[in-house]
Amino acid sequence: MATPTIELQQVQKVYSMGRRNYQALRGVDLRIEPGEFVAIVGPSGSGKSTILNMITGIDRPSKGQIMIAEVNLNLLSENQLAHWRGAEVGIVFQFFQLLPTLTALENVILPLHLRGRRAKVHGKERLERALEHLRMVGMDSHAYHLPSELSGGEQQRVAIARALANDPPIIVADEPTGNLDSQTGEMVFEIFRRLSSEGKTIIYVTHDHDLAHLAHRLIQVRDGLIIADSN
Amino acid sequence: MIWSFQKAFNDIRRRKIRSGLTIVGIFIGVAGIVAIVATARNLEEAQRYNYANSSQDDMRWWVWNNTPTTEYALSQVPNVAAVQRRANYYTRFRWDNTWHDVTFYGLEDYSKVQVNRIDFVEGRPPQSGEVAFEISTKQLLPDLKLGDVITYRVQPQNQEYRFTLSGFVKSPAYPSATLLNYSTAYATANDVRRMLGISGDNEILLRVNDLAGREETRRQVEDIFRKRNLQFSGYVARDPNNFLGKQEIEVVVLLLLVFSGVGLVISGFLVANTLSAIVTEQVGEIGTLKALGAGRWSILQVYLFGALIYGLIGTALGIVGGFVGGKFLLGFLGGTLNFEVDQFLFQPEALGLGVVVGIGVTLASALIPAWAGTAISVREALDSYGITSTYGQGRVDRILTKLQKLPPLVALSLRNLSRRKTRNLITLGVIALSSAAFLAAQSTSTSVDGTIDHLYNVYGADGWMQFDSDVNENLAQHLKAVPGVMNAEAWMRGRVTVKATTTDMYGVPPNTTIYKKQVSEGRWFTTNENNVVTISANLAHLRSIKVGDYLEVEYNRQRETMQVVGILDDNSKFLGSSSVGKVFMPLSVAQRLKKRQGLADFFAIVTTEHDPATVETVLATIENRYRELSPSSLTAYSDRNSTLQITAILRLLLYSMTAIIAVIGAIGVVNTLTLNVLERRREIGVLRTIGGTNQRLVQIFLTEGLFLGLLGFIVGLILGYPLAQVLTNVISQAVFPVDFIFEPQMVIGTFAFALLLTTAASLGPAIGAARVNISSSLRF
Repeated sequence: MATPTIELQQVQKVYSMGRRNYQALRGVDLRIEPGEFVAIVGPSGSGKSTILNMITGIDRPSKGQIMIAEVNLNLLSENQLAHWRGAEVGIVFQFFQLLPTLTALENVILPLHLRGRRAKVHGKERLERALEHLRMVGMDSHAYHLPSELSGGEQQRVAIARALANDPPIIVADEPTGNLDSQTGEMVFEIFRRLSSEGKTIIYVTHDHDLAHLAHRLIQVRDGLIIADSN
Repeated sequence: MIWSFQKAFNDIRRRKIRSGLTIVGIFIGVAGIVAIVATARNLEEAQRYNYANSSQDDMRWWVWNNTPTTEYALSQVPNVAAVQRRANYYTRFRWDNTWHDVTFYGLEDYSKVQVNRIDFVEGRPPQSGEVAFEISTKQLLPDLKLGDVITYRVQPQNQEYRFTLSGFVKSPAYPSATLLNYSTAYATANDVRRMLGISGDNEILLRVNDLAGREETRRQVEDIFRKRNLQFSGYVARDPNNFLGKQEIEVVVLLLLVFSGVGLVISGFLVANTLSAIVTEQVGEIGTLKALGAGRWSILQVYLFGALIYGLIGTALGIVGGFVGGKFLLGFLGGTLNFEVDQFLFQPEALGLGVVVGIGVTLASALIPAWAGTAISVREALDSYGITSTYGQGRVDRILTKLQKLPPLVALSLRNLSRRKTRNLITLGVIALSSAAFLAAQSTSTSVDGTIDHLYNVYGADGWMQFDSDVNENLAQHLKAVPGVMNAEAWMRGRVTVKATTTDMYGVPPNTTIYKKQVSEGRWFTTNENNVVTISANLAHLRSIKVGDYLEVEYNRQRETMQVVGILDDNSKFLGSSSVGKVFMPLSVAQRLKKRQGLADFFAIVTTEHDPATVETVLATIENRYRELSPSSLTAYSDRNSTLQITAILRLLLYSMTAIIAVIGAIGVVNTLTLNVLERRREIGVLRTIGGTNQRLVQIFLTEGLFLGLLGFIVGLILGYPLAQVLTNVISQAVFPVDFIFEPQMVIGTFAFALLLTTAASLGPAIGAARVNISSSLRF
């Protein structure tokens, strides 16, 4: 059996809310193999975004362990996690989260700059690679536009190019089409499908049933637990 | 109303550090204003008290060997209120193996001092072989104590004698020894007469009933001197509205006031910034309040109450701090002037000004951001997450976006500056003002020092010799033969009147090498010219005198017409001098004007080595060799030290104020960058998700601070240059003419200052950015 890309073992997450505690995850076990195309669904507050935060190291579990390609995320410092994310995970948000003061091209180059020497591409190569990613999502003609000059779909495509900048093996998307019309949403989803066919692990959270069923694997979450996991 | 106040109070408590910094800013601004206004008022009071109670002399002459009968005759002159004879001898004394300058005054009866009152503060009046020092001498020699023995030199035998210290006195009529850089000491009349080698006294001081009738009194008094065949000179009339050091103190107070004003403006910026921050943070709350039916005025009240609380706390602390600081400042300045400032009088106008300025500036500064912030619509407010994402609509945004070659992190920092334009402009203004103040302080102190250097380079002498009476000018040739003397010249000095202006006259050899004349127009005079003068540029400017003009030069009612052949770049003026400008003429012409042919009253000496020890040794040798002429000497280095003493005070105050302004400026930068971090928490989270490490985040915010520093430095240069000119002009008008100096290294210094200031201030917020919790920032 191939080494699991992602493994969550009895992961619990408790948020302290004043005098009360809120248990977002109640002991989640999950394995995702390399190259899988996974959709996570569930109602609001079910814990699906918390699972994504655990996988990306954005948040830490209160209990349990997260192993990704044999790296125990629990043991990494915030700085090490930032380095790790820069190399291993590309994240796409519902509201795109492009930096508004940077052009589309600069937004895509930024992760390469943040990786510094570890990026293994320098100077002009960075520019070429960023342009290549923009071309891949059909946004090369808008390379020098600011986010405020782009439509929602265009911004999301730039955000995907940014997530791909360092060529990470895992792409995580939180409601990537949630803020787009259906036609644009499908266009974005098509890009994910293409990336999956190229061998990348794709994990996305969605409310859209149709989009969820396009994944190779569907995980249903409720009240902080995985209640169904089907291929 | 009550809920508004309660909410404002809670908002302040929630942001303790920022509130603390804002209050500190207001505190410093108010304290500065209160301290300076209160000190200035107290100084005026002290001056008035001093004038009324120290029985200062209104008129004074050198009258050689005068006796009690002269005193009696003078007391019969109608306008004379009091007469005081005294023996006066300027020499040096040795204590703790070091020589110090001193003026000895000899009085017959210390219980009956009628003019220039003295009070014994320690010990008792001197008896034969004893001396009492002016208490301010302790500022120069802190370890000096009763019972100490000092050694002094006495002419004509030039032998060393000893005095035992019997007391310390306070003589409010004289400035502090620190200001003068020489001590004032009191001994018995007989002891000082013995120093002088005469049986009578050499100085007469008068107080008059009516200052307006002083000229008539002078005529009557000088008639008495002539009738009694007394040799007299050096008439000095005291200006009741002026005193030694007054102009200098006024300049210091004015400069402090200017700097305090700058500090207060920066405090205003700080308040505006903080209020803007609070309003920005609470956009959501504003939206909710509006949705619940709150009007703009009721919401505005919340923020104005907040400002009022800042203003009240900052002002209250500032007033207390100001009065405490003012007491210290008054002690320092009063001590320097030797004023009696035992009590610091409460000044209602300082209190009033502190309240008006502290609360007024705070509320006015708060009004703009509060008004603008509360204008937001309910929908905008509820949708907003802190900072607009519509970057790129403004002209500046578009210009900055065109800079494509920048690395993304640098572009990010630079373009962020145009997102909160008003806030960043305010911060830029704060850094610019701090930089301008630093540049102006550097330029002013360098200009003052440069002028002093120039002055002592123009007068190339290492020491000066004068004698009790005029001596043959050929003495200069003999002085050159003294070991250690490289050059000596006979000069003659006096005060002449030119176009109704009292000015200093210098008779110098036409071929002088000691006076390094700097002729800016025309030429220097030659050996064969008999009726020519060169004048200083400030006199030429004041009286519109040009090269080629003929002047009537009056000395002691004797007038001669002379032609101006040159204008000199020599506007130096010694501390306390009330004359304007200088007139230089050939020594022979000065001798003729003073009716002292072949004589000189002043010798300029250049020594082979210029260190203080050599100069002292050479001058002591001269004093010893020519003791029968009762010489006294003055060293250029001690004179220079005395002048530098004043500039050291000025420099200390200038840099202290700059430091205070810099602190307020730094608080402003901290505030702005903290707000930037708060507003961009989501962006920080995004940067984290795409690989942004702590170092990268610190780098982004530090670069942002450095850009602010760089821009602030550029604007600071533009503001600082004229500010430096203004300060130099103020000193030129009030103290002595100062040549404005502006050097490239000052620009480099200011650049370093601005960058250091912003780096230090940016570090905290930048590190704060690196600590932002990633998951909560993305939820924000």
